[in-house]
Amino acid sequence: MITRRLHLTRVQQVIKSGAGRAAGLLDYTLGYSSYAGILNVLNPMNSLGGLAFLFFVINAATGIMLAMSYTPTSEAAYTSIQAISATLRYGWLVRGIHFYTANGMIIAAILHLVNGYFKGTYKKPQELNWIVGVAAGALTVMAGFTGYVLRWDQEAVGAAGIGQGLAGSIPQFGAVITSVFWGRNYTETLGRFYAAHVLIVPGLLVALLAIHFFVIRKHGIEILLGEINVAPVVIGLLFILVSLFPLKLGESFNPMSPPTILEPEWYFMGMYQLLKTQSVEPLYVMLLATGLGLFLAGIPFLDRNPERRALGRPTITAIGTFVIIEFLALTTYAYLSPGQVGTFSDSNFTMAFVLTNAIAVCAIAFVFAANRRLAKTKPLSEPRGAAA
Amino acid sequence: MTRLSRRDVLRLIVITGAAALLIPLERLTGFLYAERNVGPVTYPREQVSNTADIAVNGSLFFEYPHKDRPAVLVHLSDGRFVAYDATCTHLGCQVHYDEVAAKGWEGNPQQVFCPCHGGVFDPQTGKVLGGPALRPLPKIKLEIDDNGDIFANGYESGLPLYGEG
Repeated sequence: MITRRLHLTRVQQVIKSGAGRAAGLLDYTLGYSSYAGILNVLNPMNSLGGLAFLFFVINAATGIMLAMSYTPTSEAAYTSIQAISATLRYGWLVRGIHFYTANGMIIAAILHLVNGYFKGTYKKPQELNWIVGVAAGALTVMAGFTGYVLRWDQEAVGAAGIGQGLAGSIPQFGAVITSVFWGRNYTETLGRFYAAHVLIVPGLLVALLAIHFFVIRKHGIEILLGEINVAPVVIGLLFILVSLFPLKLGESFNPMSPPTILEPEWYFMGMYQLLKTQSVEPLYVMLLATGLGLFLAGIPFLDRNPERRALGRPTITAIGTFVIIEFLALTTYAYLSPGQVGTFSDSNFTMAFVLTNAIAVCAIAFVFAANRRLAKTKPLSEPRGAAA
Repeated sequence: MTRLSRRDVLRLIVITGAAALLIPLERLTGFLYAERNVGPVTYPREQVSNTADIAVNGSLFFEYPHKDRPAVLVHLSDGRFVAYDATCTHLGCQVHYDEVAAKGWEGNPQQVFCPCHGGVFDPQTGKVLGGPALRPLPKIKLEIDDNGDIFANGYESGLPLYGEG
């Protein structure tokens, strides 16, 4: 009897301390009520998050309008989009705005992440909020992916299949993941993508963004000032963009006549280039993407240096610079070599590989050299908001 | 023997209640789960085409061994007919046979090509000639009768089918 009680107490203790730690971190995050970092709203780099949110709101509105006329079955999806674009009044405009704001949201979210990474906005006291932001970014890309599959043209069906192949390449869990998120036939699969695109992903995104904004306000950072002023301008620009470059629809999906070359949307081009490189297995690409995501989410705990200036923390800055250079190079190379396998027996590929990595090495060397100069001349900066 | 306190009884009720809710919930996850397509153990014998309907170096798609599963029939330049499962063994895109090679593969005409990541397969055997694919394409067993009708009848090699193993 006594041992049982002791045992229970021990388990309770562990639970208590674990819960205590989590609560402590939360308490700590919410405990800052007057965080000293006041953002300059006139600096466009500080309004990127708000801009992404503005795009999200426009996306939600146009998305609801599109959902009213879209048919999520493999037979009717493509023709229903054709009808939206051709016969529905202002359908082309709504669909165009939805497409351009979706891309705008991804661009703004990426730049918002890059800006935060180099400015060290993930540091005290915004650690948890940074992780929420990274998760929201991942969901934004998921929204893009599940969205363009809904077109159900040749590219869309190919992309759904590649996603399935990639998810299926995960050892142990691959089969479970693919049987939950992909159906047994095309209509089932499209139904799942539709549910994910209109309910699951935006639902989670709303929840995460609510936390993100609540914490920011709690920390006393004024948000949504610049963005609300620019909203009419952004919407006006979208109207012009859609009118000048109306959306096209790809070829209708037809398994009896597959396309000669299939490419993904621009934000997956880097990953696509890796996948079409000789002897790179899909699992490696999955591991790399997961690793990058975990690194970004874990950065507040990896970089404990209070220094916020990019050149004051050279390792983190060098890693970020390296990843950006590689991503840009992979994306560019993918656009230049459609459908072509990347292999070292191809001199163009070898040249691009050497050039990219030479640039990356130079950039890293520059970061460290600049850091040494900085360390000699100026004292390291104090953490912002340390007073709380 | 100790008497049950009110607290113990309440705890029992909570635990039983939670179990009563959770056990059917475990069953309900089956709702999310699509059964995996496991290819039939015996494959049907189905007519695909006729030798007269497909020119030398031509190809055509058909569904085999079931709906939505594309396969490709190729009339090789040496006059033979071969057929493969048309799902790329890399990431599941649909491969096609080109008399004239796709852009970027101008040096490789008359091969089976994957549009996604540039995999190239030998139309004679289904083996990988280039690109990131690791496994050869499953080769379909063909039978041609006196009228020139071509039948698919199971697989010669390369099983299991991608995504259905």
